[in-house]
Amino acid sequence: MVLEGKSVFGGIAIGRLSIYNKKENQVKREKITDVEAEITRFTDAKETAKEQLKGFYKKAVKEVGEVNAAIFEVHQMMLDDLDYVESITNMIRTQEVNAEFAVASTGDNFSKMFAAMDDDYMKERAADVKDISNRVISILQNAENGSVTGEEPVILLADDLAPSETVQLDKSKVLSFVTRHGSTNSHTAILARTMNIPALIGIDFSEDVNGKMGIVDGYTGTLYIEPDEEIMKKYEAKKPRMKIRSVFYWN
Amino acid sequence: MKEFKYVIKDEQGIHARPAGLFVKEAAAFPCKVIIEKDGKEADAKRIFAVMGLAVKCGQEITLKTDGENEEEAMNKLSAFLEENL
Repeated sequence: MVLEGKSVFGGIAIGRLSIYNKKENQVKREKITDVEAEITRFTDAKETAKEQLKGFYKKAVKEVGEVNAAIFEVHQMMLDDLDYVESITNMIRTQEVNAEFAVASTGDNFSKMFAAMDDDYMKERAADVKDISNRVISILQNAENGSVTGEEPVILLADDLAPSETVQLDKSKVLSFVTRHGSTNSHTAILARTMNIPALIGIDFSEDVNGKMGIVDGYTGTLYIEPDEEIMKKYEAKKPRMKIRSVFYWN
Repeated sequence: MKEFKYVIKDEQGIHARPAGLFVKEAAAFPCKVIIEKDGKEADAKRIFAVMGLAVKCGQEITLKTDGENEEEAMNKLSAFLEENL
């Protein structure tokens, strides 16, 4: 199978396809009795989230530079935004709901506000609100974030990757980034350029490609899934002339 | 109360990063800090409110400071706008 998309960085990668497992937070509405204790739970989780983001910022400065790392500073400020915090604490207080539910509802409301804006840049900010809210919810639930599993470096497939997701990835396990959405200016695209690995966007893959062999051609914007021998040979032959990243070279 | 009108020159408008930096600067002053666009006001100490104005390149905003240290706040914040946006 051959899928066409748009290249954000050139190069060739040969390896197994792995779909990034996003951690979906399941949030249930629960009735609580101790309102103040629940607000403290939220405040503590928010502070932990800010600590994590400080760490991401430092890491991202090294990986993608100060300007692109700034998103993690903005995320910290969003977590302290009075409208956001007040909305959450008011919900806990007046509706006597658990912190997870209050964060999820508030996150939804704020991200809807951005999604409804007549501005592509601001529309993308809806993802930031979801990202910070999910971070707090994960902390409240002691849950793990999504990750790359397995030992072998892979061609990583995802809907889109949030900056906080790319910064946490073990980069030695990634041969290439392939996303359905995303833009040439996304954090993932910038990271790919910094890492010097091929990356494609606008590739509409199906879920059943997980684990199959693939070739990313970052020069043409093509993803080959289970390439036949002829294509495989063609790319193997390119090896001497082009920079090819593959599992065979990584070991 | 002090007022300052400014037309945004940054191509991306008041996007996340400068909005964040601006909010940080504004929060350091005790006075009220307001950004107004087309009659809609936002508390400049709240990042979601500022981003919610969706100010684009070429649009005019009015910066208002009101209360304690309003003059110093206006000097600093108007300079920030001119340098960064």
